[in-house]
Amino acid sequence: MKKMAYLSLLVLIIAVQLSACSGQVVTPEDATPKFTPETYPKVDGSTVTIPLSEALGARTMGINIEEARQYIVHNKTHQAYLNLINGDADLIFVTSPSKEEFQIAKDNNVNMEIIPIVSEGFVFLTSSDNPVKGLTLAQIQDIYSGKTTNWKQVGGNDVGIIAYQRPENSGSQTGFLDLVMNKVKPVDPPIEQVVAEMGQLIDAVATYKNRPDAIGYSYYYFVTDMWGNDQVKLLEVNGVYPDKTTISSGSYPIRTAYYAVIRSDEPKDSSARQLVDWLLSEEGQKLAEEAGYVRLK
Amino acid sequence: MSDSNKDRIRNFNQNLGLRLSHSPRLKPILSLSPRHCLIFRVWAAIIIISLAGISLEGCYAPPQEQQSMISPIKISYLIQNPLLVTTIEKTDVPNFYESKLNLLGFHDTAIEKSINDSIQKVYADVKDGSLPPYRGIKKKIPEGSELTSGSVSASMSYNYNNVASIVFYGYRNYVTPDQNGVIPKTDEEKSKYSQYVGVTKSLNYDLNTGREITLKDVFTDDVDYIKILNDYIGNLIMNNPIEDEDYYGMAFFGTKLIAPFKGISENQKFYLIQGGIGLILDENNPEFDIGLYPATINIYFQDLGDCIAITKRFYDEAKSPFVSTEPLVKEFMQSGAGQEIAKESSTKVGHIMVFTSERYSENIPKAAKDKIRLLSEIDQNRITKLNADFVDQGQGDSSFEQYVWASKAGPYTNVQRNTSIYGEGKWESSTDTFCFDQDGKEVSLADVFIPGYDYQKLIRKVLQASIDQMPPVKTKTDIDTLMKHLKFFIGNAEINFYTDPIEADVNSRYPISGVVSFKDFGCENMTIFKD
Repeated sequence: MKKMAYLSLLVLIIAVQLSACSGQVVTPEDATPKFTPETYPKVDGSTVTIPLSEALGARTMGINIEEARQYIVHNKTHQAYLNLINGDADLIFVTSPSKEEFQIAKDNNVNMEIIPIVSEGFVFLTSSDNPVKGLTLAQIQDIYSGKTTNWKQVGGNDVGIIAYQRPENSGSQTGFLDLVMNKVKPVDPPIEQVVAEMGQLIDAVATYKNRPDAIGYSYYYFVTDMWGNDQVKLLEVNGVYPDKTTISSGSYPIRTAYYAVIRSDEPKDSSARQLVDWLLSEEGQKLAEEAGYVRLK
Repeated sequence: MSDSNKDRIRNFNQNLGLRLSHSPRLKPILSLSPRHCLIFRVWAAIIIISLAGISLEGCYAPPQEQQSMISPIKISYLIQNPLLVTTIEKTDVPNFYESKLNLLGFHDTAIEKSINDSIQKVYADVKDGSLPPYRGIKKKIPEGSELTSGSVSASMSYNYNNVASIVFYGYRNYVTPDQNGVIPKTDEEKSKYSQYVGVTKSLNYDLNTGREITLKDVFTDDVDYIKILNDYIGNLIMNNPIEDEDYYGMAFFGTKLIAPFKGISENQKFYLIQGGIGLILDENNPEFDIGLYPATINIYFQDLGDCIAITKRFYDEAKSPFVSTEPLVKEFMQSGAGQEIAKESSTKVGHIMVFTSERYSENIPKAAKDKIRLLSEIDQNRITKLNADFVDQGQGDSSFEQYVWASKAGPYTNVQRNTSIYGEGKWESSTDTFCFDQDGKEVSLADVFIPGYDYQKLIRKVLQASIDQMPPVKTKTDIDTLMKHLKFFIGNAEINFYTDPIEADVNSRYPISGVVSFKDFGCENMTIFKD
């Protein structure tokens, strides 16, 4: 009898411990929308939001990420906007729309609701060997417009500045022109010869080389946690260092977002709206953070 | 027995046997009687032995103690494994191409069988396995899609120094249902709803034992091989901004980086190639968006430093796992382009478009660089003469193209110049070659062979065969004269030859070229392989 009692107690303890270890907090009302792969909304988007989309799919379909991944297709930014406009997608997770995409929507009598879902920072980087800790936005514009050409002019060593840019029409170059240069024309970027597909040499915008005289830029999402970034230093801008807190709060000055975009005529209780609403909730923002993004303020 | 296998057996014992029968915490609760305990132990022993057997499946031979490999290791050359590799190609199922291989020639036929069995197993899996769990695959190829064609192949990507890599490629083409869930009938519609999916798998073997090798085995024991590879990939990403969704770079082809690259794992899939390693990016590297076909990052060993142990770790000159007694066939290791210095220019001089190209590596002997400088100078007299001889026949300007470049083969640097003149319906081409050893000394063809070996006999035979295949020539080709001015360069596995240009026909004049492999010469007759 005593043995039975011990056994029952043990089973009880194990059960309680297993429950505690599972990490699931049982709440009276779980507001997470529930879908199956068949009922999941038609989602599309940019490549940069794929991990967010996969995490969201896994959570709301109740399957693991490896399984959910197989149901997620993002056809890149422009195609995602086209798919939303023509009805092939009901919800897209994207970077901000271009003038062209606004115009296409207008031409098709489609109104888009553009809802920020996570924050993003546009960051400037240099080698960790560069003594300069930060720059003002005006100093950055002066560097890229060719007015400032030596690190000494901004408190650094007496060496010329190599200001790397990104290929024209790339996402980060568009961000650079819109968020940083604000209609100030940048100087021509450093050029390097690269071997093209057929073996011939072609001129291309030189890619960032992590040297003490270099400055380049990227989005925070890709820089943080990237292998080898211990040799790269993010620069303060207007005295604020870019991190999850300063980007989220808006104190870091060069800030953008990734967006959920739906058609305005999407019904109020539609699956697409349910997903967006949940993503904007505390739980949803937590999920976005876990997927590597910066939460909204 | 290796430490890892000892640990594995020890873990089996600890996890399945000893803990159950001797755990001080469980024993009082289970409270087995001595008789039950005995029965339990017998069964436990049976299970342990069975599981241990399963764990060793595929590792036919008892593992050998490996000697420690410490950098630096200099790889002078590779030694081909004298295996007989048979390839069977078939198309039993319409629109489904198959190419499988079998390895023969091992002393130990049990090892041979073990390797071939596992090759067939992976081959069958690539051929008949379910769709890989790629990103978006269940949306792109939903249930009800129709398989229309495919292929599966197994081939050797590396076969040197008692190590072999076999790569399996599988491709399948599906027609997916249209918006109404119906499989299209017309070819046009089918192509619109077509989806192509690829699979890449690999097996890498220590041919002495039949055991699979790991990524760690490729490197010396004193380096952090994961860090070395991650540094390389991180640098590659920095130089190829593949996070920009519209960027297309040669290094990653269409693959996109969709999340920060945090590094590969110890289980990273790979295969060896001549001179390097191929890392397979697939569903196990989710930070890369590969679409529906794996990508491969090829990394040349020369870019990873002197920490490559794969040519030495499993090779013992005194002990061959193969039955062949043929002389050893050696090859130099391939390296990357090694032409980081590149200059091109294009100018028009009179009626002649003059194009020049110069490519070489900083890492070549000074004598080779001096030769490149010399060869790159344009013969202005020749351009003047071409202009003077130019007759406008309404066919546009003539062109003069000159390419000068250096290539490496083991310790040797080849400098080559190819000149071509096009115009007025005529074409003329010439090739000059120069070979230097690592000290910068120019190497003659005779230097490549041991004294007394008649290398000319084989070269003459190859050149004669080339001449015999040419259309009737304007003037009789005198092979003895051609042999006197023979030019050559050393390749990784062969010697390449060029003659002076000959009148091939009325409108063209070009050199005869030929190739003779190291194997055909016999490596034992060559002086170029030095440890």
